[in-house]
Amino acid sequence: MVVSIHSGYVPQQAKIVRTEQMTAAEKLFELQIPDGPLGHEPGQFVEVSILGVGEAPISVSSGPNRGPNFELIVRKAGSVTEAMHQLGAGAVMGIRGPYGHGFPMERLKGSDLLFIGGGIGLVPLRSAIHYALDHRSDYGRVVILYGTKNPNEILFRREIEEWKQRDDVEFFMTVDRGSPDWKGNVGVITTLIPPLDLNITNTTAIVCGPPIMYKFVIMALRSKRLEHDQIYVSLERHMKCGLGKCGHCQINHLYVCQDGPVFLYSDIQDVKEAL
Amino acid sequence: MTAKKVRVGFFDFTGCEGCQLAKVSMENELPQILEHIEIVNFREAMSEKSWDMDVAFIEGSITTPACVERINRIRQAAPILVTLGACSTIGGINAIRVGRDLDEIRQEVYGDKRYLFPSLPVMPVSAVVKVDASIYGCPPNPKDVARFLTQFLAGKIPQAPKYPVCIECKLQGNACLLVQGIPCMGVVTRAGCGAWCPSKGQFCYGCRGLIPDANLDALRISFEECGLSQQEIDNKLHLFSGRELEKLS
Amino acid sequence: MKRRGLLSQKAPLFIRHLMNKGQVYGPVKNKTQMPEFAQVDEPSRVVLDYTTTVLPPKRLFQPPEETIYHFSRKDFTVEPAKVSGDGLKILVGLHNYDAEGIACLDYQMARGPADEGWAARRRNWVFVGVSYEPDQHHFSPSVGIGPDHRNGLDLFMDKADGGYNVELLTERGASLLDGFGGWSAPLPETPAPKFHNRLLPMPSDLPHILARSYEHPIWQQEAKRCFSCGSCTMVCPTCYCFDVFDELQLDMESGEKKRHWDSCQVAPFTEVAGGEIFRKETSSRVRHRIYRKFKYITDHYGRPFCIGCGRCIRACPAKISISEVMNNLARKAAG
Repeated sequence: MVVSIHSGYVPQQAKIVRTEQMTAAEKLFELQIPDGPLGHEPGQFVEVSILGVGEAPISVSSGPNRGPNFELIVRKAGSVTEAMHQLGAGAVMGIRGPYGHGFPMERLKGSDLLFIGGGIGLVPLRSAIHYALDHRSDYGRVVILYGTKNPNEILFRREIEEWKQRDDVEFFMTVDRGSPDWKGNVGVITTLIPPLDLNITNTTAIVCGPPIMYKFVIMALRSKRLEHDQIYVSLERHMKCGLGKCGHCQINHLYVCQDGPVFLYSDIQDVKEAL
Repeated sequence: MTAKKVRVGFFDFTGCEGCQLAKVSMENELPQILEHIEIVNFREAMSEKSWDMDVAFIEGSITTPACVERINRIRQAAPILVTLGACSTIGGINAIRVGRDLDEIRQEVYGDKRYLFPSLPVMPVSAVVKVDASIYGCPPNPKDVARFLTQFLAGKIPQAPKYPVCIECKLQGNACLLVQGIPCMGVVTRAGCGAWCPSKGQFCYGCRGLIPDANLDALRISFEECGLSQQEIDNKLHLFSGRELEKLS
Repeated sequence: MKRRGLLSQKAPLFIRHLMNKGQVYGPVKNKTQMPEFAQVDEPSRVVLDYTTTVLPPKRLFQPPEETIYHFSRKDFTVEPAKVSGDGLKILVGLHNYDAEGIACLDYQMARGPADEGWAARRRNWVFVGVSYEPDQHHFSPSVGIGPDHRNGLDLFMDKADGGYNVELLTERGASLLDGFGGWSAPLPETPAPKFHNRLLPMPSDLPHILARSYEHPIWQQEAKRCFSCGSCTMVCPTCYCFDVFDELQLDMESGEKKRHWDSCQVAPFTEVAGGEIFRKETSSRVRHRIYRKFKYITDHYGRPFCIGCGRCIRACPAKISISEVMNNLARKAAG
């Protein structure tokens, strides 16, 4: 008798329905799986595989209530993502997951939501933003802060215009360095926090961005008197197996792929390798 | 896959032809490889040379003004340029002359005719033109070459490991040579060879060059404990990594 | 406890007997004359009197390199790897600490999504232990694995004068002895082995010592000599990290998803696609290993994730000693 092993690593086929070049480095893939929808929580990730090249962990960027398909926004940053960028509609890639703990949207009902996304950090946040907007009456205020290095790196331009139009979303953005035709704010993302008028006791901040950003954003939130257990962060590590085994994503005793990628800040503020 | 064949050129500079032997020793794989690539320029092997290629493989290091001119020409013609072997990738054995007076060496090699042979300090290809990927090793390991080609043809620019030979040595279950007092370079040398030498009981010569952040201070201490003199340690380090050490200092 | 005498010259007969009961694995001499855990084809090749192996018996249940699945790029088919689930497998010549190491990984591999390769390969084993003479690096008693420790073993061959006293520890073990007629009366016992290395603190104190040593200068000191070569973790019986990668055949169609053991001690281990390395300093990696052995998993598993085999000390080209590190921390904590 022989037994099959490692079925947990077997990807399912995901067909590319649509792609959209978002910036020079980022491309959107709308994917369809045979038994879709994916059934993910906002903030979870999938392992994408290009057979023969390898796998990469990618956050799901669309909300779970947006139809049978789901979206990934992929930055060209390594061999797998480069190979993905060569694919267009009709092509197939491998997907396994979703993995990890996402944003606890159910538990946050009734709360004001303050989303803070730096650069590509808006990608996982967008799934939670979708969720909040799709269940708009369940939440209080929805405030979105978004910062990028420069105007060329702005993602979801059309969607941002929609957010700006809505009177039940407060959207603010800034760029680290402007350009001649940039009319908006210039400065790091933390500069958007002090002017906010927040209902402190009822606000939850949801933060995702490059590693360097967290420390300063959390400091700014603390000076707004937000408590550590009112802040969720989503961490980036190299989740290679997604199953809490390979060790690459470990921060101290935690496996980001299983225990995260979303953490309540008060749970990891003493985890030294986290931020 | 019936994709269009990749057009490949091979170009040789200053080297020992060992890379050629490594390629020829892949006789079992060659027919399959030739299903996917078309060799449009193979050193002197083809009379009518074509410069219309997708990728250029470069063997040998840059040692003369003529080399510089030629590598620039190749770079212009090739969308992707790959170094093959230690000489083109890290300078290789040729870089053993790094740190010595060039005229003195020319006198030693060419005698009175030295003025007929203009020389430059030995350089890896990357010191002159942009290199897209590298196949390390002296000689390159056929398995590593095959792995490179499959990944490359699959649309990936393959990266060589950044960890040391020890990882591959332990995967083989070998007892550590350095622990046994044998001055093995594996601890500071880039993996990818499958611990070719230590698995045969032979210490690593370091032919794939240094890993990033190699702990050379610790290596000197270990090699002293193996009974090597400072000169012998320097010689070992300079055998392949003369250029890299020059960059570090 | 039931025990039977087995004269040294009868040991190969005993192993031959076991080979009739199932597939036998044990420490056999490899091409470099070193004992390594592998399948036994000839009883005389089994080395029962050995100090330790380079690689732990873990390699039988999580091979250094293995296939995860086979794939075809042509039609996107994926076929998971298979292992033989049949028949009894007998591991002879296991030191008691190595049985404890396997138990550690049984725990970790079953946490969260279970590792199917480990689970499948771990089925149907009987473990036959053997006593050993410690060298200068073994410190197993300091992590709760003294000479009388029998956890996880079904039979135990206790070295005695002229041979072994075979202890019957489980029914499964005892049933293997049916039909073997080579027994003697129990042999005179030899003195308990002396250990030359030890940890100063009690096992239960180890996590507490580390809890207050995160910023200790010792990590920087050890990092000065550490090569970041990864040997310590590659030979560790309770390490389990691996790398996942694709290997494509030259037909450019078929290939395999594979994994091989990896080490948190090498710099690129925590590198993400953008180039950031999260555990960049050697000292942070040196510390991570020690914490993984004595704190992180220990906090919920209850015992150290180190079995005192000393393999990492023997394998370290920089002569870094896990016992010395812990003892230095303990001394400094006490002083």
